[in-house]
Amino acid sequence: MGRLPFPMAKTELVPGTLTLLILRVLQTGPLHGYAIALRIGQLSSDVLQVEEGSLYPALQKMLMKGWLKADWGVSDTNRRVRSYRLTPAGKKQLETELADYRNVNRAIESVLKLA
Amino acid sequence: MSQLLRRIWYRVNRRRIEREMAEEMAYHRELIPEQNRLGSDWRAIETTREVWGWGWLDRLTQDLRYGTRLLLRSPGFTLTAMLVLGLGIGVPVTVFRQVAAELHATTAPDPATLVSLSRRAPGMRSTVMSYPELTFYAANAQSFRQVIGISQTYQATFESGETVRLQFVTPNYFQEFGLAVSAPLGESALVSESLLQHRPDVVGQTIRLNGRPVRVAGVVPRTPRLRADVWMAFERQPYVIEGSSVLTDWSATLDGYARLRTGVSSAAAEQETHALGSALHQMHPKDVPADAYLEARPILQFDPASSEFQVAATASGMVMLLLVAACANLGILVLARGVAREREIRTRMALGAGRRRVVRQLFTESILLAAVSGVTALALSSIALKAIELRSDAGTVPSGAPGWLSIGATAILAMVAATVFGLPAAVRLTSLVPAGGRMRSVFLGAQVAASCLLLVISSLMVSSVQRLRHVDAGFDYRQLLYVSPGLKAHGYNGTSAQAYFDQLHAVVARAPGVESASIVWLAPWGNSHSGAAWQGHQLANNHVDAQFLDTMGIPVIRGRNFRVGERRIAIVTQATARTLWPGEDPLGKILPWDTEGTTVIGVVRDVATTAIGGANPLEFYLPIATGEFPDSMLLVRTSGTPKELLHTLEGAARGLDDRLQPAGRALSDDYDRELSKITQALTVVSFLGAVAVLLSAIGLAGLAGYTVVQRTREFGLRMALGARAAQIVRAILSPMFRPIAVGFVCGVAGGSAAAKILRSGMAGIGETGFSPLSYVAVLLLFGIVVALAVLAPARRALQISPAKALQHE
Repeated sequence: MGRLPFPMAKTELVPGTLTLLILRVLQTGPLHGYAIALRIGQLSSDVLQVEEGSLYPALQKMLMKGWLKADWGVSDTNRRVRSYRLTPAGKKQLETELADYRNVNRAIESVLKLA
Repeated sequence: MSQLLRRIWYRVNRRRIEREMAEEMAYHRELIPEQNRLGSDWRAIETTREVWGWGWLDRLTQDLRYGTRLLLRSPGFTLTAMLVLGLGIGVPVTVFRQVAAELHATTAPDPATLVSLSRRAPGMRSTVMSYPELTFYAANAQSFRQVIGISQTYQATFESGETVRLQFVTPNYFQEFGLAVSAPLGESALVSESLLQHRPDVVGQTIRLNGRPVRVAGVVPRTPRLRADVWMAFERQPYVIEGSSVLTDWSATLDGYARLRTGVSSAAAEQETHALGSALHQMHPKDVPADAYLEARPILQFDPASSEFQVAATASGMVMLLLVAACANLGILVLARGVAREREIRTRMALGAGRRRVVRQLFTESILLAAVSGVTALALSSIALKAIELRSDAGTVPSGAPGWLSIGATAILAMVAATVFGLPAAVRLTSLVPAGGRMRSVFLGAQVAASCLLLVISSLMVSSVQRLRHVDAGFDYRQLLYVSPGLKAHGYNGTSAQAYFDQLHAVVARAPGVESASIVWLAPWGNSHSGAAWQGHQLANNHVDAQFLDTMGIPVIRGRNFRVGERRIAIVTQATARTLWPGEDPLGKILPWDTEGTTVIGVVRDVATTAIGGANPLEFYLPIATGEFPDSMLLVRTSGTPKELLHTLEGAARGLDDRLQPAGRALSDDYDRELSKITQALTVVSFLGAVAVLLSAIGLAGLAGYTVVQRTREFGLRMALGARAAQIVRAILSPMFRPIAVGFVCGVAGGSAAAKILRSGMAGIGETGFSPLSYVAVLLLFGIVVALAVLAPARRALQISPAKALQHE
């Protein structure tokens, strides 16, 4: 996960990248909602913060698209939580989005270097 | 696909899913530091609904719920709107249902390939054919896949005494005309459903028809086209009708139709019959004229120049105008109501509702209104059709529950109406630009124009019919009757038929009340016509004896009447003389198409004897010849009541030959039937006019009310400052004046044009010309309507108390 190419406020994300980040953190295994947000925060050294108001609708959208599956389970603190895992369609989507993102990133980088 | 299933799954389990998400988010919040707890559950849940693609449904339900509540809260407006639009949609839907049922009942399957056949030869046109001719063309014409023959109807005695109508047809008739009969014709007979109602047991039985045993094989379904009770094949005619020579007789008696082979045009088929006609003339030079051929005319012709098409188009245009008037009317009402709701609309927009959202909400209300009106319209049309059914004996009225087609048509009309009246109003009301009143004027002008147009048409039509009732038919038809003994069906030849008629004439002349009697070939105002076509003019003729003019009471203007035994002479009407020899003396002229040198010996007053009410009767009369007697009938003038003499006449005709089934008829019956058809059409037109006036009144009252509400403060102030009542009323009327005037002029001009087209298609109404009285009546009536409509709102305006007006916003 490289650094985002431009500075941004702590709670803001480039539109569309949230899906990519969620797909990516779920690649290593199922997580529940809070854990996804936490993971993204930790991995970005707290630069990227995912607000619950956008996280859960995004998860819903990915459920609708069939990229994720959700199962209810019990957390370490004995609370009922829902954990999300990637479906095969989700894995494929991750590859596509990653490739797309890298393409765009490379293009922007080369413009920035030459300009 | 699976995505759609997941969406539906979401919709079904939405409550549970939203609850679960709220639970998840609550847990999430507990885990994060206090200062980071931003946003609300509701916002996230709403976003989620959008994500799953159901937001529109939520908004729609919301709008519908809101709209329903509003409509219920103002029942006066809702009922008025339902009535206005219910009428506006109901009338076209009623017409649509009636026409659809009629088309369904009267058109044969695949009408494009079905042609009706007429016999043609130079100077001759006859719509009927003979059976030998029919079989000849059926066997030889390659263009025709099927040739269908239908006889006239004969009276026949059913079992012991009941009279039924018997028709002979070729066996392919039922299939080609789309009549689903329960058994093939063959040697036996088929009966109508109505006969089956009195005699439910006849199918499969052997009955007696004219005393001959005939097996009944099946039933013919009821359709309005059918005129008979019993059908049999032509081959069986000599068996049931004693002495019938139809199979070998070359004189014409039946209607011919043909099915064109795939890919063959009617013109090509006609071309082929030229060669066949010549061959037929070679074989039967006495019976078939030289250069005879068949004219093949498609039964269904959409010829935009034909008067039927124009009448139909004008009539449907009129009906749609009612819808236009209703829409414009409702547009005014919705606008007027919107003004009262301006504060609500502004508040909603100030609270952040987008203009599109508010327009959508207002439009949803209109759709709701259109939907309930559509239901009202269907109910009204069902009631109207029921009423029509009870009043008329026609079997085509589609009463009962509306079919899917009419429900669909109603839905489409309602949607169109909602778009026309609702959308512009919604856009106008949400506009931040101050109301310019232009939309109101457009609605008002359109409505006044449509209403005036309908009003002018109905007024013109009604005055035409008033005139028709008092029109001079040219002869005293009320004292005339005729009896048709049907000699030909019983094998009479010319000589024997002439002898029969001489006898009948002698017997009838002695009967009490008989003033005069004449032997004529075709019944006056009858269904059979004969004639000639010359230079684009269709002329009608009849073959008559020397007593015809006396019996009819038609005066000879120039020349003289026929004398017994004369040949190759003609008597023409003045109209015929004017048309054929303008500015010349017609006496001694030869009929231009005639090859035998038929000379005009007399001119008679213009009297339409072949069709009712023709103003310019192009007719000519020829002396009746021996060959025509078997088809002829006896025309009688009585000093008494024709109806009473009918029985005597039929008895006299049967008395000379008891095999005959003579049919008598009073001429006034034909006239009354024709008149009642026109009267029925006019009732409909007047009804449209009345509805249009009602709509106008509602619309104007709505607009006046709107003006008063909008200008309450101004009126209150003006009254406080001493304005007179007349000034206030003028202030209400002045913005309406221009659209009313423009609409009125457009409507009246359009109305007279439309009435002209309609009249051209109605036999008997003819050209009655300009009638200033109708226009004055319309103007007056409309003035009264405006005055009445404005009365209540004006009173309200005059009662505005200045103190209240100042509080009013």
